[in-house]
This record gives sequence, C-alpha cells and structure tokens, in this order.
Amino acid sequence: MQTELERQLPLTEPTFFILLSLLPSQRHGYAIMKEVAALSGGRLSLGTGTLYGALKRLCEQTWIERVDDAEEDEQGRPRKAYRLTELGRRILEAEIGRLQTLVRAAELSSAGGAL
Amino acid sequence: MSRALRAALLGYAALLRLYPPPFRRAFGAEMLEVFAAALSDAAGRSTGALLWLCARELHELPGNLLREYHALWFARPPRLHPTFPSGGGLFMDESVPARSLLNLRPVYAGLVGGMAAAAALFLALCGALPLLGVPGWSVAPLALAGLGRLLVLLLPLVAGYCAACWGWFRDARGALCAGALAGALTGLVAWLLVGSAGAGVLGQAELLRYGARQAPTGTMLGLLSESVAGIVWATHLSFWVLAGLGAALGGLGGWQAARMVSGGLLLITDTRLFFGLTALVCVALSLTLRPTAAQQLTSIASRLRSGADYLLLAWPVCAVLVKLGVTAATSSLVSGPIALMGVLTNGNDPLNPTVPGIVQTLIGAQLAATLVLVLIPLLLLFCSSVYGALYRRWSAPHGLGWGLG
Repeated sequence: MQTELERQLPLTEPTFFILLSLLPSQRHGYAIMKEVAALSGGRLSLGTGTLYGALKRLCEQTWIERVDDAEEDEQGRPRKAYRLTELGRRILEAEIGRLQTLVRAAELSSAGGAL
Repeated sequence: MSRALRAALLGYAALLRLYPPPFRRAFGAEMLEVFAAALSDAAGRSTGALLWLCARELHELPGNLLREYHALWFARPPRLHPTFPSGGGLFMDESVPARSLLNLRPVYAGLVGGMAAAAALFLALCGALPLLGVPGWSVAPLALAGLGRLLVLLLPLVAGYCAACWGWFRDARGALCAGALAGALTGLVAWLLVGSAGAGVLGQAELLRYGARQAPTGTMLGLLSESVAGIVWATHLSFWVLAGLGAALGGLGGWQAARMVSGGLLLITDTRLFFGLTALVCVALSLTLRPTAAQQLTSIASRLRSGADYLLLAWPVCAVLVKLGVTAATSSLVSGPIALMGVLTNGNDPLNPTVPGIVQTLIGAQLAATLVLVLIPLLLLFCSSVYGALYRRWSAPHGLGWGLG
C-alpha cells in the first residue's frame, strides 16, 4: 500500500497546500483559497477556476470529499465544504515525510559543507 | 455593491458559461459565490487589488477551460459492471449501459485525423509528384515535403491513441481495435481526398513525361494503355498502403493507450519514451519515402506489368483489353469498380484523345472510388451492429442484451 501512496508523490504545490489547508478541519471554497495564500506566505494565490478544478480532481481521486456545511448560502441551501478523507490524509502525511527527508538531507549536506 | 462590482460579477457569470456543462452544474454556483466574496475583499483593500483579481481570473481562464474540456472528453466513466468484458472495436463498452451500442468515437477520431493527414499528404505529394511526372519541376520545398511525409506517418498513430482514450476502451483488445479502426479511417480519408488523385497523376507518369506532342499510333496506344493500367495500379497500391499503414500505426497508438488502463501491457511503459521512439521510427521511414524510392516502386510495378507488353506489338487493341482485364481481375474491391467505371466513362477516341475525354474518365473513376468508400464504412457499421447485438445477447449477464433477462 505504501508503494501505491508513493506513486502519487510528489504532489504539485497547489494540491499540497489545498490538502494542508484541510488538515485541521473542513473548509468551504473561499476559506481554502485564503488559507492556501496564508500557508504559502502569499506566494501562491489560486484563482477560483484553478481552485475548483483542483477540488474536482481531488474529489474524483477520493482524497477529499464534498459535504454540506452547517451554514447556508444566500438561497438558503446548505453551503458546500470540503474535508480530507483517510486516503487524502495518508497521502499528505507521506508527502510531508518526503519533504522532511529532503530537508534533512539538505541540512546534513550544508552542515558537511560548512565543516 | 457598486456598479463596477456588479458588472465584474456579471462578467464572471458569463465567463462561467464557457466551462463544460457538467463542471458548471457541479461547481458554478459555488465559484460565483467565492468570486463575489473575493471581489468584496479586494474592493475593500484597493482598486489595484480588484484589478489584479480580475486579471488573474482572466489569465487562468484559458488553461482551466482546456483542462476541464480535456477531462470531459478523455475521462473514463465509472465502471458499473466490472465483470462484464468490453466488446472492443466498434462497440461501446457494455459497462456503460446508458450509451448506445455503437461507439462512433473512433470513427470521428479517424475522420478528423484523416482530414489532417490529407493536408500532410498533399504537402508530401507536392514535393514528390512533379519530380516523378515532369523532371526538374518541384513546387514544394523538400523540407516541407519531408514534414508532410512525417506527419502522414504520425497522424494515424495519434488518431489511434486518441480513439482508444476517447472511446473509453479499457482492455487491450478494445483499444487495439479502436486504434486500428481510427488509423485505417485516417488512411482512407487521406486517400480519398488526396491520395487517389495523387495516385492518378503518378499512374500517368509515362504520359506526362512524353508531353503534349504528336505520337505514332502504336506509341500513343502504348502510352494510353500504360496510363490507364498505371492509374489503376497506383490507385490500388496507394489505397492498401494508406489503409494498411494507417491501421497498423493506429493499432500501435491504441495499444499504447491501453497501457493507461491495465498497466504494464507494453515493454515500453513510459508514454513519452514510446512516442519519442515512434517519432524517430517515423522520421526514419519518412526519409526512405523519397521521390526516388517512389520512382523505384513505379519501375517495379512497370516490370510486373511488362508480361503483357509483347502483345502490344502484335495486337494493340487486344493488349489494352488484356491489360485492363488482368489489372481489374487482380485488383481490390476498390480498384475493381474504379477500373470498371474508368472504362465505362471513357470518353476518349483512342486515336484522338481529348482533354475533356480524359477529365470525364478521371471523374468517373473518382466517383466510383467515392461510392466504394461510402459503402465500405456503411457495410462495416452494419456488420459491427449485428455482431455487437449478438455479442451482447450471448455474452451479457442477466438483465442486459435486448432487455431479455
């Protein structure tokens, strides 16, 4: 199963930040957009088309799921929110682990160079 | 909300209509709501932020549209009946019961590919035909003709690949058949639009080389018989070369597409490597298809027909008939009717050929080719419908197959 997960890596930057934004709790579209901008330090700013294209694909891959939020929209319908699935959580953890390995390798290498 | 914001929102709502309907239905309302929220936030900050937001949406729009339409056209539907195998080839995957039996997507891919291949073939022939017919006369730069030859080889491959992906074929057999069908259709359409006419000119190379001048009766009859037999031969050859090569390359493309489905089907599992290698093979092939190679083929064809030439000296009219008869008898389903139509519509007096007479003969032959080409796909579609219906009835699990559970 680990191999299956590893085949999905590395994640693209928007995918990684979208999954990361959903890690603490479920969010609706605009909240994801703002959280992605905040997490990336303002470097990554997703347009609505790009955001929803990515959300659609992540839903199809069952990494996230679309649920009804407690809030209602202007028409009185429940707003849609997105939350991580178990598979999405595992993939995100695997990606974080991969990035940590890279950082450790870079730190070791730069420490060796400094010596 | 200010008038400018309302206008921006209306503009965005109009742009949303460009997205594919399924995507718009699922996410359109949400996207509009999110854009409205982002618009209000940006307007609260500055006019620059507002403009930047609108510019970003416009900048991202083409890429997003392309991605969503690509996903819509090439997406595979959810598998509803995983145990039921695909019919393959012309048939819809039976795991999608809502769709019709006949899968026309490979046909569409083949037709579109064929039109592109016809344009490429025209480029290639522009470089080759004048050299064959009238030495020293070249109307197309050699590089352009080479590019045409390369595209003629690559387009059936791409058509086959697209047909297999677009037609939602999951197993290797279905993808291979769909690819081969699309590739063959690509070749057929290219042949119909350009190849047959080119072959007609190629077949008259001897006559063209002789030029418009007075000829003794024997020579003229010889040239005429050579010309008519040459047209049939070249048309026959070009039909099977284009259809066969198209089917083979299309099948290869479809086979590669199947790798996406089952995984590990091919030795070359990297799509980029596969297409890179195929492109190299196509370049090599296109380099061998130079005018001189075509001239060699023509001379081989002439030698094959030369068995009947001695009759020309003894009894010219009989020689013409024998040549036509032998060629028609040994020719294919396509070139047979073309030869027959060419003879029936022949408006030439053998001793005094005229341009309108030659044109009439050529139009007749072309008409026959067109009729045959229309009939062949219809016949294929009919046969495949019958086979598909029987396949579904005999192989389908309970509840499928004409509804006779």
